[in-house]
Amino acid sequence: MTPILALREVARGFVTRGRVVEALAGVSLDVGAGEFLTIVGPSGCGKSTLLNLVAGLLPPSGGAVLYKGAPVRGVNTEIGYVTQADNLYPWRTLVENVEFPLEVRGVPRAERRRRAIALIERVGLGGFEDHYPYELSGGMRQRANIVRTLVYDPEVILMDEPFGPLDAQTRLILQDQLLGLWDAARKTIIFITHDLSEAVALADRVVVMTARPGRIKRICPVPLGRPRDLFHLHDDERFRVTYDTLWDDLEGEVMQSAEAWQRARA
Amino acid sequence: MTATAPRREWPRLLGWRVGFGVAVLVVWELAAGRFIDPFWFSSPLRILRHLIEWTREGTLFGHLLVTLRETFLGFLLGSVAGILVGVALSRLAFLARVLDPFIVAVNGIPRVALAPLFIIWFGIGELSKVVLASTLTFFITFYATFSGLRAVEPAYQDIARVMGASERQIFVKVSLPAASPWIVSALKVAVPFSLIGAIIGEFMAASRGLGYMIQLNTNQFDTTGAVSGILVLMVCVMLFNGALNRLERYVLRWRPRERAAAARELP
Repeated sequence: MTPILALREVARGFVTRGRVVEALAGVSLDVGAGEFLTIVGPSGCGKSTLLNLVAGLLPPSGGAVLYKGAPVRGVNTEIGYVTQADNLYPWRTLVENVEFPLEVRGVPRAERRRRAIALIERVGLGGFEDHYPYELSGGMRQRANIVRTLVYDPEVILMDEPFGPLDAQTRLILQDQLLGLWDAARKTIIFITHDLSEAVALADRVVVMTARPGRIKRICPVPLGRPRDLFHLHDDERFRVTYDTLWDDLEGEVMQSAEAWQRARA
Repeated sequence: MTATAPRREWPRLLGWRVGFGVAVLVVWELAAGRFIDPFWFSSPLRILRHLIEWTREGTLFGHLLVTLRETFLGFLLGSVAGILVGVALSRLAFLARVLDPFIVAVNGIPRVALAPLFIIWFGIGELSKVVLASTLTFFITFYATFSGLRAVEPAYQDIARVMGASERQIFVKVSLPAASPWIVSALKVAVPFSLIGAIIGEFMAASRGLGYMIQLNTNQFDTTGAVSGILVLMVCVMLFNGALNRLERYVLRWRPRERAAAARELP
């Protein structure tokens, strides 16, 4: 099986205050079609940079990003991107936001309305179509954000800590909804999170990244079946074992990242 | 301010406002001829009589029309040009940096100093006032459009790009609406400035218009005439403001109420 997405020795640096800071170094990764991949790592390890490279918003400074075997040049519009801050357009109503990608792709008005409404209702936002984002709660906005990405059927969906700012209960509900949507459509998802238990609960494989410059430390398959009952996963022995293994890896990186931060401050 | 007042509070607020206004007028009227000399300060009843007379003669309407026309055309010309130049320079970053000191310098010229020149260049008629008014509105809308477009959240544009929008679509569907609060509030500020431009022009040299009337009456020591003209201007500005606030509330209806209200209360 050829991977839908492949990273080959990808590196990316940034110039800050006249110095080059390596955000990513030597990252190689294959992502299969329909796979749910999660990425965890200490803050500042270049996780968001990785997604920007995959989306084609940034060019790599070394190595190559391959989409269906061809190098990514410029923005890849076959990809969907759910950012951490919900970037719903505040001047558009919920349904107008969800319609946006269809609108710019020239889908006729009636059809895009129909497709948007169908998805909005699937995630329980029916009745709020004509509300502006400021009138919605954080959980509702993030749901709208995800639905806006799903509506144009991208092959690959990138998610950058989409549930980060939400409370624990809302997170669990949205995680469950996301798995439901993924099960139905089987798109490829690359999902970044700070939360290791979220990473294990959702993923087929979990990628652990090192502290800056970000490298891949370990790629760990999650031995849990599908569909998963997220609400009782924590009782599962396999979940706990996977979690503990990954935590051993992650802990050192998090500590190292924290120490580097302390040094920088001193 | 008024828009955020809860519905129940409205009658009470309106009552107090009307009461305050009437009280000021009554005190003024009673004081005129007793404590203050109406020759210098006139009085409400004199002004009212004067306005009625002006209206009956038809002078008021004619002069008002001239001033409003100058204000409107100056506003239109200045703000359309301001928005267009703002859009252009927001896309041409290098040119914007080259022009920056020149723009600051030109904007720094007190417009009163330019008024006599405009009279020489564009004549004593309405055109010189239109141009003067437009130089005031131009810079207000130019700066707002320029800054507003540059302040657009880059993530809004990136995400649109990933969703498949062309650069043109990004500009029309993302950048412009994102900058619209800046542009709308600049347009709101620009209206009274346009009126100021028209009036200054009329003060300098004119044969028609409310500014001309106020100037003429003042020169003849007819304070009642002058204050009547000023009062009409004041009412015009208040009507404009009311209309513009309504328009703003409609155009920016997607903004949370408190934020919109806070923006309105800024001077």
